Amino acid sequence: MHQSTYSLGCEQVTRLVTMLLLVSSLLLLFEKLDVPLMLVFLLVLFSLLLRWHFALNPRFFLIDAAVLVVVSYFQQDAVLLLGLYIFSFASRMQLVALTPFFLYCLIKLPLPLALFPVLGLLLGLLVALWQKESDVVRREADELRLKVHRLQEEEQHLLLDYQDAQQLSRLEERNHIARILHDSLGHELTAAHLTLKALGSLLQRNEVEKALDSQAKALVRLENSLDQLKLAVRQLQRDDDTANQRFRQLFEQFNYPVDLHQSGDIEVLDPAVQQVLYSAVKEALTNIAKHAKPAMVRAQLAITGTTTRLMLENDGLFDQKNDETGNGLRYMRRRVEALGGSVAIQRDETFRLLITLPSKKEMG
Amino acid sequence: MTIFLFALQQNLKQRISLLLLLVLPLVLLFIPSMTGSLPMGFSLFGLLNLYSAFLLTRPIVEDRMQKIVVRIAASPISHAYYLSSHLLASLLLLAVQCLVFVVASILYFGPHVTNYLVLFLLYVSYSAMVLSLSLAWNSMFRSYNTSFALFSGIGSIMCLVSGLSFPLSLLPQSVQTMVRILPTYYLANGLLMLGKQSGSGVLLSAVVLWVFTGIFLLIGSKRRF
Repeated sequence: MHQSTYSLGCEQVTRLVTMLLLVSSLLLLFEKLDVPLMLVFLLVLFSLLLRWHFALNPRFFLIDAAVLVVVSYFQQDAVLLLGLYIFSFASRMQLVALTPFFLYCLIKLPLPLALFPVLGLLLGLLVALWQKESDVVRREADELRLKVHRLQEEEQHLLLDYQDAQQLSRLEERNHIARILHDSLGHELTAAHLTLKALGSLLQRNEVEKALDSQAKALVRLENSLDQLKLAVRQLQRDDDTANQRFRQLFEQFNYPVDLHQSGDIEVLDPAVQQVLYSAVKEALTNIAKHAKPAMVRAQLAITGTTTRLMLENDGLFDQKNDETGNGLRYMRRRVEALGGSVAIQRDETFRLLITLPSKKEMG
Repeated sequence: MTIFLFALQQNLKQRISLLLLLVLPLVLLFIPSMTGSLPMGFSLFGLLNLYSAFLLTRPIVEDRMQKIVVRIAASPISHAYYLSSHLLASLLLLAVQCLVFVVASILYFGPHVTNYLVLFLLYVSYSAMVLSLSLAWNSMFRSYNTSFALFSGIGSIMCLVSGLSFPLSLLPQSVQTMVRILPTYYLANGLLMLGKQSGSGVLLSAVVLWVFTGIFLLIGSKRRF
């Protein structure tokens, strides 16, 4: 998992403070620095560097500190170096571990030098608190990232569900038409067919009045059939005005005037393509309102039997370097790509969005 | 061919290597010494050893500059194996240099001037330290030339003030205290103790040199691309 910059900063500061404490301890011991004391100092430095290089259990510091306590019986000035371990314990909030060493330092060191372990303790506690805070921030950031990831997954599922729903509604529509054709139209046509057969027999027997009566009945049956057929066909037809109107309203109700050039009929588009195109235009117009103050907004919609192309161009961008891959655009791209289309962005003096979609939804 | 042998071959390919390892140590024997102390060449050898070690770490820096370490990282060879092979090859050459110098000293000064075995062990400890120091130093630079340019200045000053270029006793007392933080001081101190025939003093200096070696190895062994 990518490490948050917060914890990295915290670790760097911990090392920096350790280095500063090391240098300070060296300066404090400088006058008394003989070869054995230098050796002890170097061993402490080595033990600290070892922890930076390898992920050893922090509890091993206890052994190092205990050894230093023993060494301090022979080399009294080495007590000061315990301040470095006190800082390490405090920065990990190991208060139980640091207490005996801290008290030992306070007992052994004269007053001005006794401030060194106190300083180590305070700095360590500050670093520990900062680390704790950083952990909270990092956890929150991780949770947010997880939520965004889940939302994206949900969106993906919704898109798939939407496609399935389109397919289901089409099948339902087809079943409904088949039922109308079978239940009503079929009956009426069969009845009309039988009546016309009877009409032929009646005419052969010169029963004109009965024949006229049958003819009238057959006509009624055929008119009924015609009505049923119209009803069935109406199920196939969409409300021609609605889609065109929706798109027009979208452009007309936009905050800025849009120079719209349209060729081809939106109605020929597959409903799924219509819906995605509609969402894309809506998103694009919202983006223009959010990220620009345009003097010109130009839209070109070209619909052919196979391809639909939308070009939306505007000027007056607030930020030329604005990231192109915001959430809105990313979701738009996914929706368009789910239907086999593509989204392209050209950023120059103006912002130009190009969407290409197949006019009929690509199945599978 | 193992990395160790390859590193050995690479180091010996440098023309100046043989000069530094085999010829220059012999020249140091002819430098006149002060009376009552070990020959001056013994401490000046530390300066020569320092620059030899720096030269021997050149293949490691060049591997980094030429991005060979990236290829090594992608191979089944671990960084620890690569680095230890290179360092051991360099240490072997430095040990040979020490041996050449010590044997030549026995022949030139006679066998009773000092304990040559202890002297050799002290030199080997110092060689390990300067090798790891060079590694740590070079790890801070991307270009070997820049690294060498700065090191040649700082290294010389370090050897000068720590008692390798001339006797430590000639330096002011305040400087003598300050130079105790320099790693090169501990060869001069070791030689001083050897001159005084203080076994514990020599041992302490050697231990400090090895601790310095560990510290510099920890700093310099971090993989950098």
